[in-house]
Amino acid sequence: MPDRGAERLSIVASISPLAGLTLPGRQGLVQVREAPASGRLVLRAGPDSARRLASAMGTALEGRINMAVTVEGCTALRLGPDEWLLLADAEGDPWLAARIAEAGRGVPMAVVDVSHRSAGVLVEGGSVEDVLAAGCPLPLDGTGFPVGRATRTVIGKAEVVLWRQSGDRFRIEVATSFAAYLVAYLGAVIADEAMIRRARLQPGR
Amino acid sequence: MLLIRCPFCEEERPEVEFRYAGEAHVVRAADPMGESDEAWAGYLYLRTNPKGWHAERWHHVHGCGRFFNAVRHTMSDRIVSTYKPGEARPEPDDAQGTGEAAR
Repeated sequence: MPDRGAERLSIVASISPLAGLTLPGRQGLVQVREAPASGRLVLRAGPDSARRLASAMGTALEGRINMAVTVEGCTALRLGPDEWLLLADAEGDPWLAARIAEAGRGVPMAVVDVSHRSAGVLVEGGSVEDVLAAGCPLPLDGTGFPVGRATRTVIGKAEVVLWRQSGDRFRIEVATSFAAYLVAYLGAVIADEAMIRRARLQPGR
Repeated sequence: MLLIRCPFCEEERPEVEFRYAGEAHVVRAADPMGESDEAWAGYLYLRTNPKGWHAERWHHVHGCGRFFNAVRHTMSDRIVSTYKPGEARPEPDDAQGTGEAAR
């Protein structure tokens, strides 16, 4: 019998962690969607290495802690003083891997491909701040969490990486094992009439 | 909920993002074999447990992932200062601990 291990592995990898889940939403207020497939790398590098990498990669690494910088389809989310989560869309993926390999020659650093570790969830709509605030203890208004801010935090009991992509769209990176929990949590919040009434009382949001 | 200032993120963050990590400034002997049993047991097990200001380690585990130090009053729970490891411990006076508890 032929060995079909590799084939099985690629089938496993191609199934979304959100497959089979009903993604909640409410017309005109908020919608939960699956983020487009992307490659993910975790980069750990000290200040010297980061400087050398940044000059080789463009400007994707330089930036304040807890902020995201996007260059040519690759986004670097600076989660800690020496830790970056690199997200690449389908077009940016080969670019990212090649650039890191090239720039990282001789630079002390650690790069790990974690593409299948987490699921990407988009939450968007006028009520997105209210929905997320039901589970996340950070201030989520435009001042406390401006566009481009990205940080590790918690929603309910799940650790997530939260990234504000635009005024009414957040991207959540959540461990695959917590993806169903997170979707259920957001669903319960969106189904809560009191929350929705509050949101409707604030026109323009 | 307490807000704790993370010296690496340089902002106040909610307490659920943090884990307590024991007393700060407990120094391991450079040569443990040269220590007396008493001194080594003291390093391993004995902590100050004061009523008042306490320097302790905190871990921003659901944030930047870094350990840092905080000076907290064990009666009022007020955190008067947080600072990076390696920096000197601030010495607040007693009056600062008796007021309003940390937010």
